[in-house]
Amino acid sequence: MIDIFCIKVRNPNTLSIVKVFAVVKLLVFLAVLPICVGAQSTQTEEAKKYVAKQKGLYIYQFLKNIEWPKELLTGDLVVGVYGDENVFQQLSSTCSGKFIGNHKIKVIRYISATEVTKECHLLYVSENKSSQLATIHKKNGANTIIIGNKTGLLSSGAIINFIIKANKLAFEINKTAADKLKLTFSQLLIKLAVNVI
Amino acid sequence: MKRLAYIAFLFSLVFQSNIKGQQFCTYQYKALDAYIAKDYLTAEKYLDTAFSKCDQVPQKAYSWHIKGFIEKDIYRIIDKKDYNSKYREKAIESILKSLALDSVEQDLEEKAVQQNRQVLAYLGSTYLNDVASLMDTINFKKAIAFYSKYKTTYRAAKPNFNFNEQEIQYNNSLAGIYEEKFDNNPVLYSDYIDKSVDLYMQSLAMDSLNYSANYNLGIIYHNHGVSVIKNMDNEISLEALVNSQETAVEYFTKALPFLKKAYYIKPDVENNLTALAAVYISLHDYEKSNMYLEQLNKLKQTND
Repeated sequence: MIDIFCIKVRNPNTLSIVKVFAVVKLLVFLAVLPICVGAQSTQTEEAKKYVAKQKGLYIYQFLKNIEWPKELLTGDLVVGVYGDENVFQQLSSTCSGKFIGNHKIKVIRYISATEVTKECHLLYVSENKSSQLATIHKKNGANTIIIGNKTGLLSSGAIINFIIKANKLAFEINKTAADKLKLTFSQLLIKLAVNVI
Repeated sequence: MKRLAYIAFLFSLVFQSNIKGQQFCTYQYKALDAYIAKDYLTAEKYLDTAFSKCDQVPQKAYSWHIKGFIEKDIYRIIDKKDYNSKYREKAIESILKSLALDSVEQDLEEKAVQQNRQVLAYLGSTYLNDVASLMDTINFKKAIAFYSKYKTTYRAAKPNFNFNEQEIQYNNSLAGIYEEKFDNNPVLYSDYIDKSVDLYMQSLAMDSLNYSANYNLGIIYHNHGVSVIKNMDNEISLEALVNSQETAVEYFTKALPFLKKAYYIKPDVENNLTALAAVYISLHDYEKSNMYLEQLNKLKQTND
């Protein structure tokens, strides 16, 4: 179970022997346990990947729990990722070959905000790119559901926003903005959101 | 040579008592001759015959004391301390019998009582040596049995001995083996990880500042959390996703106090700092994660 995530560098447990007679040799037992090479440098990176996995799975579930108006969704369902390689990798893997209704999910990674076009139906914007969220919203607002990653972004154009609550990844929804776009969110999505405005 | 003289002296004690009891047992002479000739197996055979044919012999604490010495020498010299040797147990049984008889009859000299206890302590220690060499994923059950024998035997030799240090080392070693078993096949050996946790907890009950137990418990709980996330299927439902996340966070939260304690005990261990940073990332607390990563970098610079 923990073969990939290498936080497996255990402290070797030693069992030394009581020396009673001179003939009793001192043995030192070392519990030789697997030590992942380069473990220290990868552990935190792996932890970040698991955070990204959770976000990717949430986003896939968002896709399944949102209904787009027919005029906005024709052809492939384009999901964009702006600013987080791990989330992009995770989404690409999760959504590979998947469909929502008749629409094939297509995951695209954007390097700059200007690359984001109106063909993008749902855009994930990483926390370090949050300052550009409002600009993207201004340009694509009517067509793209933006998922933010920082507290307060619902008021800057994000329709769904990831926040941290009690050390857990949670999401909030701007239903008012969603309604304006004629998006339909499932009752489950609304129910599980920690904040709906 | 010294030991031979001692054994010869002991034989003489038993013979004297036999003569007083109007019973003469030639097997004991033969046993002594064989022992002096270092033919320990023959010595054992004659002594056992004396035990079965001469009524007084098995009732003497000295007889069992001698038998214990002979059995011990067979184990040590002929069987070369093979952990499967039956003579070690025979030696222990004989010495215990000698001590038990002496507690009633009080006929052993103080030196012989001390020798009994020393032999017991020695034989007990050999079990602990065997525990160390058998502590692996294949032989660990034998190691467990031997550790129990070590404690029983050693306690008989030294009733007031404090086993805590050995117990902690043993617990931590066995816990490591259980972890390894679990890692090799988490489905088949799912219960091993709980056993491992129990053992580390037992170590901490004896010494809350034991680094190994703290660190490894922290890692186990963190890995439990990671496992929950890893097992999230792509098609996991939204509700299950929320619930699984809560479970994972519970494990990550459980990991923290142990890793922090380990950090308190040994602040300069890189693995521990990395583990803390990873746990805080898993808990989405990037500020604290960065704090430990900064300390890690400083430590690395110092070590370089």
